[in-house]
Amino acid sequence: MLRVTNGRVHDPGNAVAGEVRDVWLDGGKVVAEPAAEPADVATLDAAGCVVFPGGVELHSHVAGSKVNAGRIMCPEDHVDHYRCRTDVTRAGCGHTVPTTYLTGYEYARLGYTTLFEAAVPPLTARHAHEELRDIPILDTGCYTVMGNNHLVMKVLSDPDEERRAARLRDLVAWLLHATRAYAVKIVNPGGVESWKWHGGPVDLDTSVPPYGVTPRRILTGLAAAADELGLPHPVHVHLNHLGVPGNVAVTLASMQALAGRRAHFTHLQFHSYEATRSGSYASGAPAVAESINQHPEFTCDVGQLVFGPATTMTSDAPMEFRLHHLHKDKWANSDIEMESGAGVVPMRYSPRQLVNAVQWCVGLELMLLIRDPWRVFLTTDHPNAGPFVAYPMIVRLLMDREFRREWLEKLNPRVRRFTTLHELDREYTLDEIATVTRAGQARVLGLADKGHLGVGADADVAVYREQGDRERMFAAPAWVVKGGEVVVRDGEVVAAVDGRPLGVDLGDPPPLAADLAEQFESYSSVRLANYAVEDAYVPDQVLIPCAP
Amino acid sequence: MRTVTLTLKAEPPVSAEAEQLIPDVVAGKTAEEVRRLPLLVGNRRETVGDWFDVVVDEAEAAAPDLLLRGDLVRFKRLGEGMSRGAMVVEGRVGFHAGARMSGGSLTIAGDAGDFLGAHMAGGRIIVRGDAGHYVAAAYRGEKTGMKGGTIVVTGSVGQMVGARMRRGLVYVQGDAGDVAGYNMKGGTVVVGGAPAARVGARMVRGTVAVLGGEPLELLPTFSYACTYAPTFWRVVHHELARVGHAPRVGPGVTFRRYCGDVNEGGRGEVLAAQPG
Repeated sequence: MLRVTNGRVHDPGNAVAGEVRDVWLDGGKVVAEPAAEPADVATLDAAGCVVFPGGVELHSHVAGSKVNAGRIMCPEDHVDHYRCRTDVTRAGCGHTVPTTYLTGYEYARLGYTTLFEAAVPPLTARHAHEELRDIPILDTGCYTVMGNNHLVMKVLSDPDEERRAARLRDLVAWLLHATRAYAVKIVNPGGVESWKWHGGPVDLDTSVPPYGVTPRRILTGLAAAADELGLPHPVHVHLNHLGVPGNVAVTLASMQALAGRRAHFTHLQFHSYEATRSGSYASGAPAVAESINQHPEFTCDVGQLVFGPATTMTSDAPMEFRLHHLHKDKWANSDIEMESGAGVVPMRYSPRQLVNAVQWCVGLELMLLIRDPWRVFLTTDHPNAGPFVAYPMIVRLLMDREFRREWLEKLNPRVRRFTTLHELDREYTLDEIATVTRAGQARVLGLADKGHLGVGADADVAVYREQGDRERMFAAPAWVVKGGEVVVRDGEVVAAVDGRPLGVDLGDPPPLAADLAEQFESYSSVRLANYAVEDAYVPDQVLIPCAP
Repeated sequence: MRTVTLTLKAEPPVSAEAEQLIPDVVAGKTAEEVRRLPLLVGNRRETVGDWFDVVVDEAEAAAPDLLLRGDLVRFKRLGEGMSRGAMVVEGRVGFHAGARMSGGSLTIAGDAGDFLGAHMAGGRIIVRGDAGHYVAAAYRGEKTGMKGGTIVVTGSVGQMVGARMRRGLVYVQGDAGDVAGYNMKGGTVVVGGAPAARVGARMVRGTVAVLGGEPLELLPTFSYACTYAPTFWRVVHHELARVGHAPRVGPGVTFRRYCGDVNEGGRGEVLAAQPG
């Protein structure tokens, strides 16, 4: 048994806001305070500290083929960023795309204990699970990319609405089960497939070859399927036109199309740009934030830009192609058969570059303008907008408006013409930080045992020493506890326990429909019998129940 | 003037990383302090004193700040990151010698390994011997190699000399291996002998001057432009003469100029010195 005592507990999930109280942990769970003090209790004296639930990361790119491509093509990312092995940790390297072990250690060193890989095409799911298993300490899961999947689009092309919905629901269940994934991910719906056919960018109602379905139908169809299956996490949407000036129009239209259904909009910063008269970037954050504020069924994460090196990697292959032509730099591309695309382009964001400065402001504007912290989450879309190790600095930017102003002075001065960040005075409280970094994320993921410290919750706890400088405070937790075991002490990993894979309990989903199976066998590079990820790749997967 | 003299006791059985052995670090230190400096030998953290005899003494003004004696071919990163002072190695050195250096002078009386002066930003490296591959180049994945300074190699160099370099001057008195000046963005590579195949491949800008004359094995993406006596060669010649390595061809020599690589815009140039 472990007791965390004398700390100020911030547990927004249980409406505990900075009360000094003890947290008791036993058997990997938070337990009620025992009537009599047990003999074998270990104590962490958290006087002068704040006690948070373990951090939950709902959108990051840490495992799978595109992440590996990023590692291979960026040796310069490794040479100055390496960690030697210690008695408990393995060696690792990489800053924007760290190796698997280092990814786990670095997340844990920030107080995170749960992590989701945000985009896995079914064909590479086996590889993604292998890498997720290598990530120590954190419980992990992944989302399956479906927005440009031929089988999905074929089903969606059925004119019979009722039959279409039923078949899509069965297909989504089958795909999730086959990939042992946690949620449905949509990336640039229809846009990737259109690009493969030499088509241009698609709007919501553009007909996409070869099946003639529209992005609107893909979005609404998959959102409905996720709802009908009762998946713990709603459909996880990367919208069309990422990074394009004026994309706020398609963002708002997509939100309108999904109104009334649960949906999570990811890295919304990249989708919240107005276009200036000259076609450059201006902030569209106020309009997007207002839309989120008006729709309680929506959640989002920001994808906050971090100045410095980044490695963009996404299933949005046309976006990466465009980025490559913009910078004339390294580019990796991958056509994932009938399922998706993918691309990788290394980047460096600069505060003096007006576009980057606008992007930086837009992310913070979204965080500050969306009123409900339970519906906006802190991410950097690691490593697309920057590496996750920048979280402590972003927390300080949210909590300290003077720090924000100091940074605004370092940006391209023209940024004030195109953004409203300099007008925003809001400062996040510790409770709100706890919400946007763990409680809210756990809730939208449907993880009832995570993101809070109530009795029965997982014994994942992060303890930070209170400091005026919030960046230093959140950069080196005093202790991080995972599953009841102390894994980080004073910002250093002291034990590398294994995390657990997370999945959804879909029961026994129906087999793939005969016509879809025939299409699969006709055009895929693998046989259907070899397609599904075997149980051996996700041993002891924790299955979260669905609520259809 | 104080000189720190390190004499190798015995060659280590595995490679050692000696980035601490630069004038910036040893300056002002006592012999005992120098002995305690860390040295990564294989995967073991040892000390300079384990492998070197260390003497700190007063010397004449012309003496170097740091003098290393012995066959240091297994010592990597010697002179890496140095920004001032004079460092002399009497013997061979391993990979990455003078990499990322920004000032001072590094003289190697022997052969040097790969990545000599990689990412160098300033200062001077003189190698009295041969050097390996990737002299003045960029490390894997990086966009830009050497950004300033001067490198002179009295012998020959391996492949990819000046790969992705942006500024600075490299003078190879002997021959150069394949793909000299690969993807250069600027700067000057002078090859006293003859370069091997594919000189200047993917050059964006910059100059590869070949003093050994033609015939050159040029890529088809280079085209003949003119024959002329460039003014800038007088400047380069003067600079090399200043460091004591004046090329054997004079400052007024005539070159045939080839422009390329047209796949990258064709703003680079390969110059071939003409006899007489």
